[in-house]
Amino acid sequence: MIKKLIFTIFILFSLETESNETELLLYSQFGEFCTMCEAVLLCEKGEINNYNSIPDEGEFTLYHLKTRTFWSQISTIWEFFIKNFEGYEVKGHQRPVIIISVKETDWSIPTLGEARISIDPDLIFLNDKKINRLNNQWMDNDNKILGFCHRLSLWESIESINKRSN
Amino acid sequence: MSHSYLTFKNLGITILILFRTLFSIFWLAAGINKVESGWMTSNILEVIFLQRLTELPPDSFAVFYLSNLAIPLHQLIGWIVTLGELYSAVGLLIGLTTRCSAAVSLFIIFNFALGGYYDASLLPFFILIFFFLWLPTGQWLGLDRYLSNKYPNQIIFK
Repeated sequence: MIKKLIFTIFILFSLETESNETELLLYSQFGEFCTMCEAVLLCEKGEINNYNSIPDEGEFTLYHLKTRTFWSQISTIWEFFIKNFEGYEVKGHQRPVIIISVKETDWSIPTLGEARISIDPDLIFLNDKKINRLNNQWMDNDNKILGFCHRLSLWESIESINKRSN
Repeated sequence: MSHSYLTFKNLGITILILFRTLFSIFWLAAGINKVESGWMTSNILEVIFLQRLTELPPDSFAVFYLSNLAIPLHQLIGWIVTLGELYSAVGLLIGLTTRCSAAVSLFIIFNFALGGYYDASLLPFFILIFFFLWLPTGQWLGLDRYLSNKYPNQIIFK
């Protein structure tokens, strides 16, 4: 019985280790960030902090990644087809992103940009910044590390952004 | 005038048969991929649906559909979708029970949309399925032509 228990715990730990190693920002185990999915990322300078929702104050940048555009959605027919063949997967896609800078309690006017979510290399390109999808590092285009990014709770964050924008 | 009409008609038939072939290859690849991914033999589909639940607006119909129908019946749905895609793929590829194959494709895609897996990429599929249901493409090129002659009362080969 004890042997079985030890074996089970060992298996569980090995599974846990494997899933942590392969976990990417904006990636599900079944494929890339989906066409109609949205995400809100909070990026700030300094060390890693854990956030679930948008803090009331602070100095950070919010990236609201929107759904893919109409023609980008149409192009997923090819992406879905080609991913059935090993070695021919599409290496990324682009989608609109709303960028908001927050300083103390002041929110900037949201600006529309373009995000490129890449899986080779594992980066998210956002205008003049990028995010490393493996370790969540927030970087400028010269690869200088600025801080870290966190994926926030989606619907709560969108509600907060909408309230602030109206 | 009659000559140009025939040419135009033939061009339309050729294009539609070409799209039917492409559609069936897409469906075949998707069906085989589902067999290999264990859609019929594991709980992978339940995990996929649970993941999707976190991405959908909580008050949407898709959440209701997934929670009350798709997740409890995930194993059955895995079988229906996988076998349905394979059947449609073969049917559309060789023109066998073509309209029925198109109807099964429509059923699957419509349920994808209901389950929250909708985007603009479904539009070309809906349009093509509409043509495959409306026009006798299996009579133009496929086994339906031969079988409907042999079994004229069988509506499935029309």
